[in-house]
Amino acid sequence: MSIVTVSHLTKKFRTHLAVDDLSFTVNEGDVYGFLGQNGAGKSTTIRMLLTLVTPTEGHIELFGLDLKKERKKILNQVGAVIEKPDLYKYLSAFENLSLFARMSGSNIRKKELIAQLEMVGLAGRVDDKVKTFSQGMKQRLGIAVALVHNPRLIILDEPTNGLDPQGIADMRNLILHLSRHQNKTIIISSHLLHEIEQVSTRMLIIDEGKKMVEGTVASLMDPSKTLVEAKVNDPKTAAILLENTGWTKWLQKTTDRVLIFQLPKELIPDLNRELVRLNIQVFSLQAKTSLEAYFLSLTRSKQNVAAFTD
Amino acid sequence: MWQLLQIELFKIFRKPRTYISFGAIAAMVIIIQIALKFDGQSYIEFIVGGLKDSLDIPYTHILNGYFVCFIILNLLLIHIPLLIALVAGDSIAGEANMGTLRLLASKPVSRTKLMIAKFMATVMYTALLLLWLAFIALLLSILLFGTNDILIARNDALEIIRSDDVMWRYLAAFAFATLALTTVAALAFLLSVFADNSIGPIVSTISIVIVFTILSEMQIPLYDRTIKPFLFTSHMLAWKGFFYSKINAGGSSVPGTIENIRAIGKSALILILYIVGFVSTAIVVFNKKDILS
Repeated sequence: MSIVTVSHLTKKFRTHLAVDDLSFTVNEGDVYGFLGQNGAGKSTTIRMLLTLVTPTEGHIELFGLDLKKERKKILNQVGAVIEKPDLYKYLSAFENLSLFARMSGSNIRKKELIAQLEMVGLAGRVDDKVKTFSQGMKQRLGIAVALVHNPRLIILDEPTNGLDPQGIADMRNLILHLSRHQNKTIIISSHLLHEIEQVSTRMLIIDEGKKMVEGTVASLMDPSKTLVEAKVNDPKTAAILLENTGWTKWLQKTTDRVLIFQLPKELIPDLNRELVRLNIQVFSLQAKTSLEAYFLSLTRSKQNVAAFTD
Repeated sequence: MWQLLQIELFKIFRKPRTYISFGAIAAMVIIIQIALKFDGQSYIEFIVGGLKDSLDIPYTHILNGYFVCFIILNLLLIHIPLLIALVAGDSIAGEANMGTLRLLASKPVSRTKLMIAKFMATVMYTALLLLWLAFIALLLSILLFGTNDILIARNDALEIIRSDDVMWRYLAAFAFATLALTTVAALAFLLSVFADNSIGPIVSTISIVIVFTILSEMQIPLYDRTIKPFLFTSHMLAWKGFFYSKINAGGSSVPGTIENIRAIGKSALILILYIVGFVSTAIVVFNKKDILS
């Protein structure tokens, strides 16, 4: 069942086109990774899903309901952490949670609120003011606020920003727990590929507001489509020598400095042996999934992209 | 709506900044009371001007709690808008600055209801501030100076209102002052919608009040007819009208009367129109606003 259906979504801020004709679908139970560089349009899209920003064009449905017409019904079932989890610094963790629970229409008892704070690891800081919290603790409180009304859909916009490695691992475990044990549908945005690939079931990459790639993580990370960049002494001669072998079917591109193959990951050692057998000097073999290569081409500077693909 | 209002009041009264206004009012009132306790006669001489030579003025009777409260209101009501702007200007812009506005606006509450709750909370804060002023300016002055008839200086005469005819006038004056200050709160609230930092709306509100007050006080005939009747600051001091009673043939004030109730009603109506205009505009703008903070 589709939980989120976004059709031809566009947002223009005066002359700047932040989101450009974006369409995607999130199914129930998905951990949907939303990937793109800073400024790619992820946050604007998420803000449109939460009615913080009005689309210039396009249509959004959540839980089969029109977001414009059924805003209240929809937002009752959505919990979100948007960028930094900013909360009322002069209030305690408990007061913040209680306040937002009431705003979400939940009449949750004190005991349950405290249990929620315990779940995110803030048991000992219930009555402490948020201004005394570290970034990681604020992030965990933000998650508690997002979960307090037991939403079906959780939206996390760059949830690991500012967290230390332990905090990042905790966040990843929490996302996996919510997905596997509580059957929540989660949209998680990030500019870091490895962060998304570790938790997501499906993902979307956007760039300059446009959809680039969408699909299951398994298909996008398909090891049979591994890109291998071979740095050799004379790529052009090597390509000629390879013509009489079966390896040309895997060869994608030859440049002045490298050969680029696309092949199943398990063939990489054989490729190495074959190049050596042909007396080609191999300086390095660098393997990347097609998605990783693609994402790097988006996130690298133009100069680096050229260095990789030329 | 009641729950939203409770939440907004909770936020206002848990914020340390809120109590600055209460502390500032208490300090200013007490300073004036101390000054009048020790040198009230000089102040009364200043009010009666040249009459002090031709009349035997009973200073001890004049310097009573009702009179002191009237002086305090005259001195302070013009400055309280600054304190109101501190909270009203912070209502939306402060949330944007803290980053909590996006969390609030993504909750299943309509933006219109959120705005109404925020404004209602600001009005309650304004009313509480006035109640606090009434408490310390009126009750503390009565405790310190006792009660007696009150001497009111008007443009061309002095008027004496009997002590048993004063309390209702104060109640009406405080109610009107609440309305006047709510207008300032509504202006700060509107400006708060446009900003992501509360300093801007607070300073802008104060600037507008100062400029409008200067225009209201200017004695230029052209402005008297064209601009002044429409400035909200021209109507904010209409509370004084409750202390101007009708004068009988013998030249004494008639208890329980107000000289120009229509003028007070007209001022109240203009202030209400301003409040409705400011708040409606704020709601319309906020409903269309993209929250990017």
